[in-house]
Amino acid sequence: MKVSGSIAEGIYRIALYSLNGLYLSYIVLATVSYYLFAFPLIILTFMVFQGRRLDDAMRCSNRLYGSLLVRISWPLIRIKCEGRKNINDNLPCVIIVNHRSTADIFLSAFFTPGNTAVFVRSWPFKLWFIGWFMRRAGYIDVEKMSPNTFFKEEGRELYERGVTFLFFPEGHRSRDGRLQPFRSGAFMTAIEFNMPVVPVCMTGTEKFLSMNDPVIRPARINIDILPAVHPSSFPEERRAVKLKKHIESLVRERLHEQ
Amino acid sequence: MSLKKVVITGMGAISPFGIGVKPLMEGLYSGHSAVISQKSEWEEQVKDLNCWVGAPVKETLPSKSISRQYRRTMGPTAIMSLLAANEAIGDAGISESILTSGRTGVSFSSSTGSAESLTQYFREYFSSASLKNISSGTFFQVMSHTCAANIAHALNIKGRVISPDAACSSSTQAIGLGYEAIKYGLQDFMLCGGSDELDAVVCGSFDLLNATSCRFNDKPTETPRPFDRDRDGTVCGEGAGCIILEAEESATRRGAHILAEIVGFSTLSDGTHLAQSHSDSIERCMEQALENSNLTPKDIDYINAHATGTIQGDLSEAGAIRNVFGDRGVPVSSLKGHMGHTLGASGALELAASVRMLNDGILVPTLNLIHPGKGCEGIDHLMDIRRIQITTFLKNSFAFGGINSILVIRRYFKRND
Amino acid sequence: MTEQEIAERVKKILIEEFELKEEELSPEASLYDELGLDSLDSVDLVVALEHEFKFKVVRNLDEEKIRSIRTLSDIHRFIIEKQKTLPMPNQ
Repeated sequence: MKVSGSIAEGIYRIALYSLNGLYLSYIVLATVSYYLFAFPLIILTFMVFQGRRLDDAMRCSNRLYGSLLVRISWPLIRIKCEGRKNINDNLPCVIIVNHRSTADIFLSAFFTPGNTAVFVRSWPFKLWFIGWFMRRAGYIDVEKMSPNTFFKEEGRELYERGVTFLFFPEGHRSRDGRLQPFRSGAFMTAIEFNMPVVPVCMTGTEKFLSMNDPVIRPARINIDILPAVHPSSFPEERRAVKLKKHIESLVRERLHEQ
Repeated sequence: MSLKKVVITGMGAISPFGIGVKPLMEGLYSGHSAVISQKSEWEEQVKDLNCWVGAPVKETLPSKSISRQYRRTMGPTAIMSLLAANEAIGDAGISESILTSGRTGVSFSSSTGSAESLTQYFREYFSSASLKNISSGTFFQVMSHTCAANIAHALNIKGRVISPDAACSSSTQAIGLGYEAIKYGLQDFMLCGGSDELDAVVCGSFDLLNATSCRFNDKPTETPRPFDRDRDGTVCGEGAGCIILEAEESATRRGAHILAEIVGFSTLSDGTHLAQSHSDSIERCMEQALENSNLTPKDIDYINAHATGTIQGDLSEAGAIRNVFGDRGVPVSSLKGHMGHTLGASGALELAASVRMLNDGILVPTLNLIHPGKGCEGIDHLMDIRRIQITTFLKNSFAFGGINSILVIRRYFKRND
Repeated sequence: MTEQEIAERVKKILIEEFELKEEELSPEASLYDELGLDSLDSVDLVVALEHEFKFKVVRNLDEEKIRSIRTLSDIHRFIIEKQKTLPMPNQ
């Protein structure tokens, strides 16, 4: 029994690694094709024909690339997305997503508006290619973010360009699937610029690429986009905390139901 | 045919606070009232007024800066329009060749043409049963489209010229129609706005309908009191506001500074009452405005109300706002507490002020609003200056004749710099 | 009234009501070309002259003469002629 069990497991492992190898090659091929053909066209259209700035163009390109990657990964990644209409592409907002997997940044490209700036910690910026594209797109390193200058400078600039802000308020990936306490950055930003906060619950990503095992597994991802919450629905006193707590409970409740 | 995006690239104002957008904003931000006693000026003209306060333009108009050739056909209403238009043109950096190209139009109106000129005309006529002594330019001063026609004449404008006279909705409708002209690609630039003079006769007309404020004749700065429980009517003011609308592609091509974007407009009639609009028609207008801009009540960050200080009017507007925006808690204020009801100019002047508030991150409260009146509660009334960023706001105007009009304005997101 | 007086009073009208500059008002200056008056102004000019010199312009009789006025001295001549005829009829 034990021998046949470990043989089955062995076969499973080999299949999984082969799948990963295939998938990786597939993604590399897709990436090369995108950056050879689509990327120059997109940058050209944005910057030359529409006269947009580089960072706006890069954000839209990054989002498009991520979105395409996710879509061409079917059936390895099967997405069910509800509530997309709660995001108005013409009005910037702060989107917050729960965090369970390294792949979350890419997967979120499935539902974010084109011109979205992602707020993450330092480590993705250190990755070779990815970090370069993130910096060109003006993504913000929350560990280096200075509250004194952010609201007046980088944040203000993004707000005036109509950029949507994407945060993962837990800060770290959740180890046990439970929602960790939220950090305040996303909510202070929403209050500073008087923008609605759209809470998003993403589940299944931990099955796709878990923290423990650096291996990709086929997964069904559920994306639940909840109705926007506006800072002005909270009284002025301790607004940031109240907003944060309210949204935290909304997300926790929804995750529980799943 | 694709619809064009319409942006605001220039603004000009003549208001009770003075000549120019700068004194207007200074007055509003400092919380002063521009309402003063008009007893000595009006006693001679109309003996039995109940309301003796008004908000005249503080400074003397530099009328002589307009050459006589154009000025002789202009009463004060048209003169104020042209002065405001000139400021807006300077603000937008529009060249003469653009003005005369045929792709620039005018959409400007007023309530009555010119009360002063009209009075003079008929005074002469009645006293002499003859029109022989009336100057040749007088008809042009009193005709209802005097603002639009004179602006077009003085600036050699060859494009579309329209004059949607609609009392208090005049400039809002003018701006809305200008917006549609550009949206549908018929014009690239539109000089839009409205103007009206302060005159004893005009005040008298409101007085007749018991719509004016009569209990504050000795304390003019305490009226009008929009939404307040002690409100007792409106106060007439005067001025002109000009907003320059432009197609977005034109503005970005010539590197113009873009102040805001117009994303929607709706205008409809109450249909049941000639003197004022009821709550449900105001609601319909708001809903239609939101629909026209593809927005929901949740997306609005501020409402610049019409609220003139009349008992019924403010009640209707408050009720409609509660019904449409109830859950959302949108900040609301009316600028008429500061400068009275500038009638035909109110839409344009208050829109100009609101655009400045949008870009400055400051919301001006309703002056003289201390205790919201019965039926006016349940709204986030601004009673102090609030420093807050807004992205989208509504400009409301509801006029005599039951003409409702609302503009939806959004912050313009920087694209190319 | 002497021609000098007439000329002075006409000048006064042109300066005050039509805001023209004194130095431009030479007797031979062309009203429409040089001084920039137009058809609307000519209507107002007639009314102003009637007021000032107390005569009445009669349409059928005077129309031709009014239309042929081109310069200041034309105006002076017209006024002198009008003053020679019967005074203003009673209203």
